[in-house]
Amino acid sequence: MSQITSKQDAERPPDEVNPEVTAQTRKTEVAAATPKAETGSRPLTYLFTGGGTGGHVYPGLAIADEVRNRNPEARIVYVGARGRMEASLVPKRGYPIHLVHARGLPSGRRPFALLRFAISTGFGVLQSLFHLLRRRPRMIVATGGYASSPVLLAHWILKSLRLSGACRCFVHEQNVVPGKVNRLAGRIADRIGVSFEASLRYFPPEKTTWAGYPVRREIGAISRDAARVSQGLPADAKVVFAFGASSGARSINRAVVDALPGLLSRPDIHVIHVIGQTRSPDYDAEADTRNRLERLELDDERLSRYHQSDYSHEIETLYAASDLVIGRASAGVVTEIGICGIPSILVPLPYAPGDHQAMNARTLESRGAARVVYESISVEDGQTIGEVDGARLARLVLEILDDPSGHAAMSSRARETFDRGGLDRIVDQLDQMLADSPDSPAHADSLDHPDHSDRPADHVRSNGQPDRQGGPGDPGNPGNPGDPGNPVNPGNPDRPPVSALSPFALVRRFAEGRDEAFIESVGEDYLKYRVDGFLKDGRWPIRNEGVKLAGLLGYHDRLPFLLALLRDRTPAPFFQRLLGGDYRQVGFIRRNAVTAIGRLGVYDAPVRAVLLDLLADPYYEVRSAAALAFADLAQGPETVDADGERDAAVLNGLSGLLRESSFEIRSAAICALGRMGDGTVTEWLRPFYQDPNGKVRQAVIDALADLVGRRMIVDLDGLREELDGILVTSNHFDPDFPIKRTLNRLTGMIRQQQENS
Amino acid sequence: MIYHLVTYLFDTVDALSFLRLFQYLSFRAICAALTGFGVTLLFGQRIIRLLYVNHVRDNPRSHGALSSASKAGTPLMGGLLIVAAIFASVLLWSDLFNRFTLVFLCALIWFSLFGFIDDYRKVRHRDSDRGLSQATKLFFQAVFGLGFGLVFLLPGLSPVSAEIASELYLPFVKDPVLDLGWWYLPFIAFVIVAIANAVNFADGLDGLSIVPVSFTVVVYGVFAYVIGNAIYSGYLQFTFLPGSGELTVICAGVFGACMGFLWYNAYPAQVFMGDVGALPLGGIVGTLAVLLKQEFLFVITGGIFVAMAFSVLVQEKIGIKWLGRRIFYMAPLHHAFQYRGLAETKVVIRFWIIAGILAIIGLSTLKIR
Repeated sequence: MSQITSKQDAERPPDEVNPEVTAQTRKTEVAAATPKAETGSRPLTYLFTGGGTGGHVYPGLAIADEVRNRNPEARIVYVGARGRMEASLVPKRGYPIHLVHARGLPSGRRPFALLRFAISTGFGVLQSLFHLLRRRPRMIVATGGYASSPVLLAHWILKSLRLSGACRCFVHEQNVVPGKVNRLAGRIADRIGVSFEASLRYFPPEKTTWAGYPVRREIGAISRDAARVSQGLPADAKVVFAFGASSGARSINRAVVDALPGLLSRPDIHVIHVIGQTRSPDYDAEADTRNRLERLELDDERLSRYHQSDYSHEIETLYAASDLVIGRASAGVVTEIGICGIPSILVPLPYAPGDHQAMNARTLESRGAARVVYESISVEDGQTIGEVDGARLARLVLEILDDPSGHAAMSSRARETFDRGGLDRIVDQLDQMLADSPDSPAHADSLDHPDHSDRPADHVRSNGQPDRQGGPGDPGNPGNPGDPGNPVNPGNPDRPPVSALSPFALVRRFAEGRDEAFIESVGEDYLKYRVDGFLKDGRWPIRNEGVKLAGLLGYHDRLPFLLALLRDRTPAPFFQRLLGGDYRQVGFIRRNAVTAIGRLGVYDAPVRAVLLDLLADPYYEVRSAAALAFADLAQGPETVDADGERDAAVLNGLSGLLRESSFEIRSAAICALGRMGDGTVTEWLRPFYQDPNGKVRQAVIDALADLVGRRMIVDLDGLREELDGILVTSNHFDPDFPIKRTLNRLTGMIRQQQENS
Repeated sequence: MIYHLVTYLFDTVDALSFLRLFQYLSFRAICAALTGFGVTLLFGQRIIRLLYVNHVRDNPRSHGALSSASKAGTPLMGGLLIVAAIFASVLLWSDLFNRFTLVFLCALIWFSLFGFIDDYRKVRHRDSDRGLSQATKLFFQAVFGLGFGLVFLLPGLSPVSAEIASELYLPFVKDPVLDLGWWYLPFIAFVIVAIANAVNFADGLDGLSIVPVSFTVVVYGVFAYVIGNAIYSGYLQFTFLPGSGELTVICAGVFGACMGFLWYNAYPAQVFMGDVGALPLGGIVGTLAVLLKQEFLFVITGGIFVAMAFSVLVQEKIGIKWLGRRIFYMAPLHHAFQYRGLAETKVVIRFWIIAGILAIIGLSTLKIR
């Protein structure tokens, strides 16, 4: 079978809690109110589930620790997805874990992926049913992520069959925008706790409360000096602590290594770098980082101030020891460093659901608690990857560390923004649910439980009732924890909702040119970061809009990316090629990329080389767009090489297009020849004087006009004679309705008089 | 109604026996055509003015200066005129108890109604994107197709006899090639949806759809005359459909209404038909094709529409949505010709010529079998 039961099942987890924690005293009070575990011979069982990524596992573990603290007899089991973060994290924490099949809902309409998802989830539900029936938990705590879906579905089945007994279900949502599983779980769960007030609206109001993020007790418990001693760091050093997500972040890892020369040149700076354990074919964190580091050739003294590890189980110590954190902007990380009061440089995980990481980061930045660095993109081995400029990161770090008063201000701002009551509120709520459970033996007890009313008042307030103001808006709460991830802020007109930033809406907005006021209100950096996201997207229609936007916005930094995109010759999937598809970067993308390059207005050697190649592109629109791009770009003195000669390669490429069957390409090539060529190209144009297509003949006349205008033609008399040979009967004419012209004149007059008066 | 009145009169009053003339299909067909044409001509000017003052206009988004080169601001919903004229001629000149007539009237009413809703929404929101969605239109068309198919296949309700109702006929082939049984039901729905959409796509340039539609209707009218006549159908070896001759009168009425509309819709158009015209025209052509059991004749006579629908499907669904590239310069086909530099009038008249030739080929299948 699938479950792997930890050998530590019966053991207590290693107690990592520092006895000096201030909340400890409060905890013992609350513990008195905890429903007694002794229900006959069966201990009180909590079943935790959630995962897929560390972000969903850590909150579950924090809650589990607190439950175990309050009630050492409670039995805790974890159900997670096989092969994911929880499979290693949970046993390390000392809790038994059962692994079940689970799979994330595939995006898009891919029937096979959907089938695999359905089979896997169905199997996982059967496994979960088995675990639920065997363990008979009194409480299911789900912290989101697809790993929790089989358990929740199994619980729902049991509940509808009335087999779930007294089992309650609590769901905790960490992010502002709930994931798919938790949205579904909202219907199944008995109570839901959310970390941000803004997410209340996604769940049924009668069973949802704001609880906050469950920050582990260990976070912020250890003193800076003790932490430095334990990590072997000098007390007066400046410590920078960088880490990606639990799975490691390539962009952050690479940027940190790239920043090392700049940082370690200061003798007092130490860098702690947790690189994560990613070992996928795409990215091997350990090897990649090692390679990069070796290339830098740092001396031993400097390397001695660079402390690297692939994973840390004592992140709280590292927080405490550090002066600055570089990391992702997930709800968990942001809350933890906020509580510790450490200034941070946040690199949001791009395009997380609702783009919540960027929203978190932006909010913290606007409060002066953090700085934001957005990932930019580049192409590596035909794949688009996110990257952060290491030198820029180094400058930013030094800027913060060199300004002690600014550093202190950031620190206090960060501290003001978060409170750490989340964990207590959540576990209180669990206790409350067990106490209220109708057939709980503790229930009768709790009705007249003398300790019940002795709970700290604020705890009862903040979880006993679904009060919207009592939580985040409470003046007793420092700061407003509901805010840091609020992506849609209707009260704030200068921050448009994320939906207004959809690629299609943006293209419409910029179709008429740069909308400076809009760019100002959104922030150009953020807008560019969004465009990067579109460019990186796996779906070509989104990428296509990204390409258009790069041109419309005048995003010059992306010129190399556009060129790389045009050089990308990865073939399209088989069935698309069967019907005339060619490359992964589909025809529209290539055409629009060429147009965007034309808009950017840079004509240098790489641009010329790429455009020259595109004159032979398999898609006709690309060939004509490339010709037109030459017409637009290559007019200046750059087109003349050292000997004063015209760029013969380009002219020959263009003349090749004259033999095309598509009138559009012929017209474009003729237009480009008129702009770039000299008197000799009239030879090439002559065969088109009687072209059957009037538009081609029109292009010929335009091109001749260009040549004459640029004084390229010496024999003007000869040309005049030749013009007689151009076929001018045409299939085309522009209609003209004189009545509308007259009306326009009248309205124009009226408007003018109104303006004058 | 004149038909019923006259039948009553000459049955009861001997002196009025000369009114027997009104029983002849050919005479009533001519009268229906003249009625259709006369009604549009009589009311055209007034309805166009009414539409204009009520802001039923195309592309009402631009409130600023009117481009003197564009037709923006042309009154929409001229289809009302066509529908009204068809109604008038059918009500006056057809046998209203004939099942073919009843099915035809149902199609006309159904497609006019949701065409009207579509246009009304566009006009009210002053936005040509705010009409019914493509999916909603398909749904309405399919609902009619299925309902019609049900009526057609149920022996008690069907206008044609049960043994041939589900047979499939092909042009150039004498005998039915296949008995589809109940599979004929989805086939009918498909035919209705396909033809209605195809005609709708063609409605893009002045007079572009109305003339091919009238050619198609004339061809179907001739077929109705032959198939509904025991002698002619025997001679030309068609399966005789009793009562279908009534469709000749109806087709003539539609032809008259189309010609009357062309009077105003000819380049440069004074009025556009809108969906309230294009949808019923497509719907009734589809209904005629099914009623006469000549569905595949449309592929020939309505070749223009088929080509346009095909170009739109290939361009949109395969090219733009999936492959990310254009397959034609533009779709529907007439825009591709415009893009190549042909003036609108030229495109339209060339399409008329092709439609006429296709109609003649379609008629030739009467004999070449």
